[in-house]
Amino acid sequence: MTYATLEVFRQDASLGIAPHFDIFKVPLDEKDKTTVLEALEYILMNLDSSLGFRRYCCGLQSCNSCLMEIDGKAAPACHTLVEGGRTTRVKPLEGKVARDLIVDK
Amino acid sequence: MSDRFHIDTKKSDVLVIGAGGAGARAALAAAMAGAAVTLVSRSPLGQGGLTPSGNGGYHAAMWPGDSPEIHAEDLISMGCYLNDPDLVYTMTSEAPMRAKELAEFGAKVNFNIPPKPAEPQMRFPRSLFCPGREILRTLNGKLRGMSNVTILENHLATRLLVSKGRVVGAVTLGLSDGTIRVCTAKTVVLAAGSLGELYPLTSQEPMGVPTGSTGTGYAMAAWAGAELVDMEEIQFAITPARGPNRGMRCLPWAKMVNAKGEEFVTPGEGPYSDIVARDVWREISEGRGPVIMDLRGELRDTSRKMDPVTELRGKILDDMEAMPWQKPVEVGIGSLYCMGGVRINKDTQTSLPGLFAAGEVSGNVHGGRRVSGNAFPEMIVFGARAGEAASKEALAMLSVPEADQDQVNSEVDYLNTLVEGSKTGSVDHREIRKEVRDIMYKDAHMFRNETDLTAGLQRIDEVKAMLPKLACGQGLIYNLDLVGCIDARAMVTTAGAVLTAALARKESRGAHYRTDYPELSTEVNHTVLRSMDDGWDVRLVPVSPARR
Repeated sequence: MTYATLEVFRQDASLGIAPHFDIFKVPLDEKDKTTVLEALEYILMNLDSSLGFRRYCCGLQSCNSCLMEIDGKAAPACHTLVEGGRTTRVKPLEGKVARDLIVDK
Repeated sequence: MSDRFHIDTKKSDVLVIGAGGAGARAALAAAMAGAAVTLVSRSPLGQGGLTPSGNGGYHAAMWPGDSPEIHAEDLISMGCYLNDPDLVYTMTSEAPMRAKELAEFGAKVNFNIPPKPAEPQMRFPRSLFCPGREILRTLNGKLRGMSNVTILENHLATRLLVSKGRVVGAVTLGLSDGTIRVCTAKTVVLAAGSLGELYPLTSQEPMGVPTGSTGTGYAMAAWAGAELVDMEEIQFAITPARGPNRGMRCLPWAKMVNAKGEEFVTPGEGPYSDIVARDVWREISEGRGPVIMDLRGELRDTSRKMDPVTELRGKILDDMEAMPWQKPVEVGIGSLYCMGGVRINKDTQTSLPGLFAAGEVSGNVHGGRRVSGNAFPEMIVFGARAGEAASKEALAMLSVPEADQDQVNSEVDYLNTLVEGSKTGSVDHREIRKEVRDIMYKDAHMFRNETDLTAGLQRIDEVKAMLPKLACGQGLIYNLDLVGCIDARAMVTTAGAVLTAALARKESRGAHYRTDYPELSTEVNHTVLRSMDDGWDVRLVPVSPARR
């Protein structure tokens, strides 16, 4: 079993949680890759249920719901792949952070 | 320690719950009629639900020689005569006009119908084309420009409010502002989408990520006392079972082998065949899986012209090297569409005064089988009709009915208890979600029988008993843990409805296949469910005869 490492930005002003990064290890099927979005879904359902992100996928890479900063560049989490043995850093886009990776318009 | 939710109120003529195609179309129709409309959307507009992923096939009888009657007959015969003829004829009669209306609103609708029928059983080609995201772009653009429309984005409706036998609004939870809104209205349109997530594999979770199809609409309608019809009729389809393309529907259907390398597909069956899907499920459920689709070394047919959305989906899978020409793909059977739902008439009225329903949450249009290309006309025709009927009734009323304060308080207390529940609660909603999905996978999947369904219902009762102990983590803003708790409550109710209806239909019709009753019954009945204090009231009601 290989693991992808994600460094995920965390912040929730309403709960007094200051900006920081949490590190999660997401197991990968050896044959398969995982997207950043699916890795976040894995974290939410298995590792940390307090994570905030736009939990939605249109499956067509067109709705932009999951746009975030991935390794320094704005990208849709639904078609950015994470790989075993590598660390991926995810942050919200510029703006007022509502919770973790969610920015309110 | 933790804050409690702020409380606010919102009065309108028409409250629309759900902002997919049906809800947006309903809101627009009601607003154009002059009603003050509130539209509740779980997500930012256009970034939620199933409409954005819809290919765009929109069937309408516009080919020379075709007619709404022939279209309706085709659908009723494919639906195994379980469709409500009144609803089908209404849909096929209005589908062409409602497509033209969409184009007038500014949507790019392709009226050049490809000359080949979408499925061999269809007597005429009918596929107009307008992708779901184009429909939403158009409708949302219009809605945002109207002064009599309030859009509550990132709001979750949690319960319908009933006063003196009439639906008078809903309690909603604002995820972005931590505010509970008591939304009262003269009429309410429920357009809250589907229940695909009751199953562990579903095309309603494209790429393995949920769309919010947790069955909340059916559950809210049931709690309020509305009738549900034919909830056992759930369509299943072949989809990739793992990896980043899990749940996506863009695979050829042929050339599958089981774990022993044997081919098992019934010869002569075409794409979208229920028989092929059943063949696959038989291999998996009887332990001969995994089922693998491996087309490496085969010539890939690129001659067939696909619609742009299907082409895009294929390209995404290509990019991920997830097509069976690139590597072996493990396939499974996922839930695709719920033909049953809240029982409506052709004006989308439910059995409860004040409540209208449209889109996938409503039942009875497609009977035992939804033919591809017919979900979109259902969404648009009945969405529009719901907005028209709900606004007409609302505008004839003098005032917005008052909510029953006890009911409001009880729901507000419930939501506050969940976020404060770390003190007393001990059950994680993820356990409940997992349990419900396991029950539905084992006991209410493609093949059903009395023993399994009864066992499933027993397990649902056990899960139900866990609900009062639900607790979630802290926070009033975008607390997905809290959303999960609210969804879990609905999933348990809706799963119970599917199991109960499946047990009541003692025959195999359409998508509902009973191994202990493999034949069609001579009488054609709907299963009609109503939620009671001590379970479900189940009736079998004869299907009304076809109109002509």
